[in-house]
Amino acid sequence: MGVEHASPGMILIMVILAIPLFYFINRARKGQSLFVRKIAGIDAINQAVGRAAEMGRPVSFSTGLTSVSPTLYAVLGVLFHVTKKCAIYKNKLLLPQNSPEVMAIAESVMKDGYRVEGRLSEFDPSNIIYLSDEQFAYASGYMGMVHRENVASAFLFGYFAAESLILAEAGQQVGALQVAGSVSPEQVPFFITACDYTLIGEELYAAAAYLTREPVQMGSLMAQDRAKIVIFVMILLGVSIATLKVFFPEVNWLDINQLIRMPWEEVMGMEAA
Amino acid sequence: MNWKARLLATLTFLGGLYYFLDFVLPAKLPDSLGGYEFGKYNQEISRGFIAIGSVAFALGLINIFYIHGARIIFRKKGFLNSIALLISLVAMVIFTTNEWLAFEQVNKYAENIRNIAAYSRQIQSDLKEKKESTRSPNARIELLIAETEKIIKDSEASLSEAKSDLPHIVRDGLIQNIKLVSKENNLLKIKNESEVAAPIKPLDSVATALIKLSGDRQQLEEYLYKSSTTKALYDFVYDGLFVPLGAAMFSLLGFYIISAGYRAFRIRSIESGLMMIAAVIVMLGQIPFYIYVSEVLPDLRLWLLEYPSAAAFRAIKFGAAIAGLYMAIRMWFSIETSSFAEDNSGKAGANK
Repeated sequence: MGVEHASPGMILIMVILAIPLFYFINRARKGQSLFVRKIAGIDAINQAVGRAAEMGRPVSFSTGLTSVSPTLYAVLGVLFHVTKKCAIYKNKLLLPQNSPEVMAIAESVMKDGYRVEGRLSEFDPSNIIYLSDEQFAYASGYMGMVHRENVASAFLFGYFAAESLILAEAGQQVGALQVAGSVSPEQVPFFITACDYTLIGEELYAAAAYLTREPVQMGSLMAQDRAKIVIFVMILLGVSIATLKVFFPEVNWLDINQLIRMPWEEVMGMEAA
Repeated sequence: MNWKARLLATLTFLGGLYYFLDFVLPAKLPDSLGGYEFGKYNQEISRGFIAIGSVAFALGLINIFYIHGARIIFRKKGFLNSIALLISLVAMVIFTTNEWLAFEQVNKYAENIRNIAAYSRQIQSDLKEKKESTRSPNARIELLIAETEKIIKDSEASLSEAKSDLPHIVRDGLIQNIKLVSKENNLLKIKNESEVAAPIKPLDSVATALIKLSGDRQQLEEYLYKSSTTKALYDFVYDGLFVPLGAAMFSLLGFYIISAGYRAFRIRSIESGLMMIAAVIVMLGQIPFYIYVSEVLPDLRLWLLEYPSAAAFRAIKFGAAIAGLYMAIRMWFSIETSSFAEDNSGKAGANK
């Protein structure tokens, strides 16, 4: 159930979760080395771009139905890296688009990638193709593009819905090496079955940090892991109390759910009393 | 950080701060703290987003014309498809705009009648309370009579346009209410000639008759709109072409799931073997013939979906939500943009 306004308990959790972020970013900025495990899907990104360069065929990068959101910024990190690689290897990079707002941002990122590598003159805006904002029209446009251009590698990063398998199968049909990353767990099985490598959930957010080793992102990645430990402890606590309630119903156990959801009015009333 | 980046970072921070406070504070602050309602500007801000989205949409259109226009002009591979796309695009814009304008007209007539009824009531109220107006009561009543006569003529004309299949209830209601408005209008004329100062009752009757007429007029306009060529053309391109084409794309999923399933469920490792077993249980538990295999299949299927599968889903969602939260904080405070932007010197982290 969605929440319109956070309760003081929720704010407290947000603050607890935010503390590791600033702490680890600070540590990373001071130059402390932070370990990141190997993620095969992200390593495959360079492999996929290299393959396309060897074959002399284009690369495609789809942001799916991603709107302007934190997910998009995670995706742009990967796009930036892929663009730089394509600029170095002189690969044609196709960017089919679903949302005009995202298209404007993605175009700027792509341009920046070429500029950084000193190949701005090779940036071709006609490779950024606005297909449609309608889900299946976009899917059919993508299929056509992948078949016509005979792409060698396809990246599918961002938010996807029912069209995910259509997009991934189109790449399969032309024998493209496909790397996908989605934050929607419902689409992950489709990508696992149809793509060569799949980044699951938060791995998508970790991709840019893994590729760039940039201190802020590395620190953020470390903090994410600590935040998950906090969540894990909370789950354990909740499960333990719920279990104890079953075995000892007569004991007045602490109701964490009620404590977290206690509204402002009640908290303020308590203070006034 | 240059001034442009600083300005962007400030605006981003202020925008984020507004929504952060809107989320963390109660809907209304207590009176002792000023009683401020944080969400009261949300609608105006949403309109701003819609405006920006509309401008961005134009970018999409420009991109389509740029790419496909160039393909047609230089006769590149697939230019015939581009011609078809641009023709479809223009046709769809024309049909949809026409349909939208026609639909707007449906409410316009009834709305106009209701406005005149409100004007009649306003005159009545002003006369009762002896309020002064820029126009004399006579002039106002004359204007009301003129407008009412226009409505009567216009409604009669629209009625004659309607074909014989217009529902009787609408036709009869309309005829009856046109007569009623005419009668009350005439009454107003008589009163206007003899007793200008106080035609209070007839004014009320005219307003009531007009309100009744507006309902029937709305129905008539809806009928005319539904039987118009504009609507038929729109239905043809939208319901007859666009929707079935979308459905056809969606139906491809069925076939793709089979081919993807074939690849995924080939037993090559322990993991793919487990996946195969789970998939068989879920599929058999879903179909009505499970009874011929085993009675426990639906329960087993439900257990697989509600426990191991739901746990994995939640784990992914938790991870993604935390990562999303951190990404949002980083964007809010403009801590970094270096993952997808570098400054002109090529140094990472323009906004650091």
